[in-house]
Amino acid sequence: MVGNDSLTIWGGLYLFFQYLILAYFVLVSASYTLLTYLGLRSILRYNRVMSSYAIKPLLESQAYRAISILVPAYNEEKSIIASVRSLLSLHYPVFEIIVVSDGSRDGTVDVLREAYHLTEISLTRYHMTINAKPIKRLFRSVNYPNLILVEKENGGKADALNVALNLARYPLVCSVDADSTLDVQALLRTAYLFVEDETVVAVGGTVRPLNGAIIQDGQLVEVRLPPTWIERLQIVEYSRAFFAGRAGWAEIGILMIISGAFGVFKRESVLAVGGYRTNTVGEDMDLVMRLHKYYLRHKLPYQIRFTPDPLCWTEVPSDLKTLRRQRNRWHRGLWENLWEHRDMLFNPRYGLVGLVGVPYAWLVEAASPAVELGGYVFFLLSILLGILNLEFTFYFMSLAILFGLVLSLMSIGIETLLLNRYKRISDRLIFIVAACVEFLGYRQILLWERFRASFQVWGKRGQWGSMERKGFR
Amino acid sequence: MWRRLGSYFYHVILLAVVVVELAALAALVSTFVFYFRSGGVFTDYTFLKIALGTSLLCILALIFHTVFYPEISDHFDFRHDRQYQAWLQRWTNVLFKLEDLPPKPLPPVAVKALLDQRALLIGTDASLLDSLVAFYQLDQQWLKGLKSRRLDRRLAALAALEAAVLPQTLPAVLAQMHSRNLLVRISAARCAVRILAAVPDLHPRHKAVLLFVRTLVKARVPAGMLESILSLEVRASVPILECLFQRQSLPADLLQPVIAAVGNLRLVEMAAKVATYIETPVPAVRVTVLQVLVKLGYFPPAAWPVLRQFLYDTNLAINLQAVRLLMLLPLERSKPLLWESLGHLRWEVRCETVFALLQYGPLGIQLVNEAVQEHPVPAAVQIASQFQTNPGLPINARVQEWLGTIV
Repeated sequence: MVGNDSLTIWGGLYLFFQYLILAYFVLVSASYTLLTYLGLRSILRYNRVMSSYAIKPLLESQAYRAISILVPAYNEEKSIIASVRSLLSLHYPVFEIIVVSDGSRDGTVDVLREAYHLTEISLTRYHMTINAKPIKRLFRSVNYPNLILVEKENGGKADALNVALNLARYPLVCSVDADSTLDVQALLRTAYLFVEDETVVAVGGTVRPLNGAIIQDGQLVEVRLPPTWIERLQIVEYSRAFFAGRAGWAEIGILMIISGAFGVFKRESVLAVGGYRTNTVGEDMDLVMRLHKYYLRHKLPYQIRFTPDPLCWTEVPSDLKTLRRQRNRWHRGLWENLWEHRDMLFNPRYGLVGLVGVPYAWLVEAASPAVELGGYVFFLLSILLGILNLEFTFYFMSLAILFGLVLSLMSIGIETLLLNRYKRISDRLIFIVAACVEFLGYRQILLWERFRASFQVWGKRGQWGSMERKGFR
Repeated sequence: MWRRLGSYFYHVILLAVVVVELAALAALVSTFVFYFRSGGVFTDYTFLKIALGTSLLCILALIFHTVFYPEISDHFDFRHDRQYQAWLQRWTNVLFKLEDLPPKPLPPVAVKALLDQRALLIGTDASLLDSLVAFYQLDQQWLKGLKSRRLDRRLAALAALEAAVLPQTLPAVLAQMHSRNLLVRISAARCAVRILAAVPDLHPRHKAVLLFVRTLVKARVPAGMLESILSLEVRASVPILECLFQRQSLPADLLQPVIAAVGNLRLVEMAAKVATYIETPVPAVRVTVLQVLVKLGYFPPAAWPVLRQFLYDTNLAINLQAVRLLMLLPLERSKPLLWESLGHLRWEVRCETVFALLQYGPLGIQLVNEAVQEHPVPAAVQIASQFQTNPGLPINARVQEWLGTIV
């Protein structure tokens, strides 16, 4: 990669680009490594807390805070019944489930009505604290008094969440995707953090791919590896994103995203920032950013925490087309949010979030597809021009690959230590293989999709696209 | 035990990996810089080779951990469970078949089995186990653990003391409530409450209670956890709460959990004491006071003059709790205020008022129907018309469902 012409302008540019790539590589690798270590520290502390306190006293003492679970659903007839069943069997003293069918065109409402004996009720209790699309019908279960179904006009996920927020009666709200299922103790372990510290306004939990697992009576009975490599590779990605990235960021108090699939918030805090923003596909990140903004602007004490254990199992795309569409949407959501909150960039008023978190998201998360693809193009050009130092390139590339592998393996190791979900050695070996082969095409395809998404942000603003569901086994 | 060791071990591995990887990055940068500074002459890649080699070693260590840790862990868990069962059996034999006592010192699994069995047994059998705890001087072992500099040891000692509930260990446990570590403070407070519950003839002026309260006031325990801890054991909490109420003044961050605990434990006899804080200036505390009074079903005479003020407070939660408190009065007394709050500026308060009226039964329903015809405020007419129903019938089942839990 190292050239020999340092006198001409092209030579200068060439050298500059090499330094840029090297600096970028060092920044990304060092930050990921440190975040992984911070993540491990927080996870070890969490383990200690849970083994020391246990959650029994919380139940014994009634100091828990009641929770409203908000479930936005759009064309989820295949998975909604299992999903609601899983929510109904959660171990928590007081909670209600509000499922919002956001103008579903399939049988989402009908299957729910039939399965849970839902009867229509009047709209008396509904008050639009946050503006949202009108409600068509409201149902309540005869068998499960804490289950409510809302049928409304289509307005997007954020709009559905706002409707559910308006209906929610309890001080804590938990947003859960309709294609997800929660661990039975997920709410107890998350709500505990709100009891421990009054300044906690939001808590994000770990989300894991559900594909291949077996659900019985709403509960996950066996975690099995999914059949396709696309799904397996996503398990490695999720592990890295949650145990290394988010756990690490939360440790230094600048967690900027709580997954839409599972997050618990103080209702009054969400209402204070105006609920979910409807004109974005990254409403989960936007909410957390606005919470940061609100509390930092008003100089109020607050904490946004991440807890590694409360598990939400979600269905991930099983084909490349859907996966690409999903990643495209995620990256557009990221850009939309960064642009919306651009005033936070290097703004000391927003503390570490403005000085570290947001610049990092611009530089490493949003710009990475352009820089990485630029690196590949640069590499090919250097080969074509015959100015490549093969020996240095070999070491550089080997180190880069090993670095990626080390990061993935560290996260998988944390997961093994914490959860021990995959019991068979063969499953764990397959994980390791997945981490090893991730950079052989899979990473590049998604990189290209994210790169494309960077240019589609304005054209496709707020567009979700569809996802093919297989439903739970 | 094994898991704790496993965690430490992985922590060490990861720390080593982080150091190695950061060093590898430094090697990469230095090689790159040296190469350019030397005009392409410097071609020593030794650092990079070392970096690659050590990275490979890190990968092998991580793979080894991922593959074998669960296996080793399962093996140890299985062994531990087997030993635990054997020790449970052995203690049973000691108690009921008068077998010989196991020799000192006891392994940790034996102690755990002993404490678990102690928690299950009551009366004479439990006191026999107490004598075993004394015989093996386990309290001394735990008290020593409390002095350890290692956090894990202190937490383990507190957990064991909580299970053992030995009154003589209370002062040492209370000392831990001043620890710099939040986990230790919370665990110590919980342990102390459990121990207090085991102290015979406990009353608010008991030396142990006074000591606990004095420590609690100075210790920084988060309000939510304090509420949880004070609501754990009714036997200990009643004298503690009484003692706390007897104090001259309580800071707001302590007052709120104390009052909430009274509500959690449904201590009706303390309702009058709670009511004395009804005009506290801190809104959050005032909300808790009102909430607890509603829970206890007690309408204090002091509330009547300030109820209207509460209904129109800027804090919505206070408005709602005021309506709920009004519900505790007979309808003829609460009627004027409820009628007025039907036309409240806030939708939530209007809605809550209708629910309150419906809970009065036919008379309340009649008042809702009257509001549809006669109320001067259009918003009141609108909310009442949504609930208009036949006063001769029982409350609409759907509406009854909506009444739900008071939060």
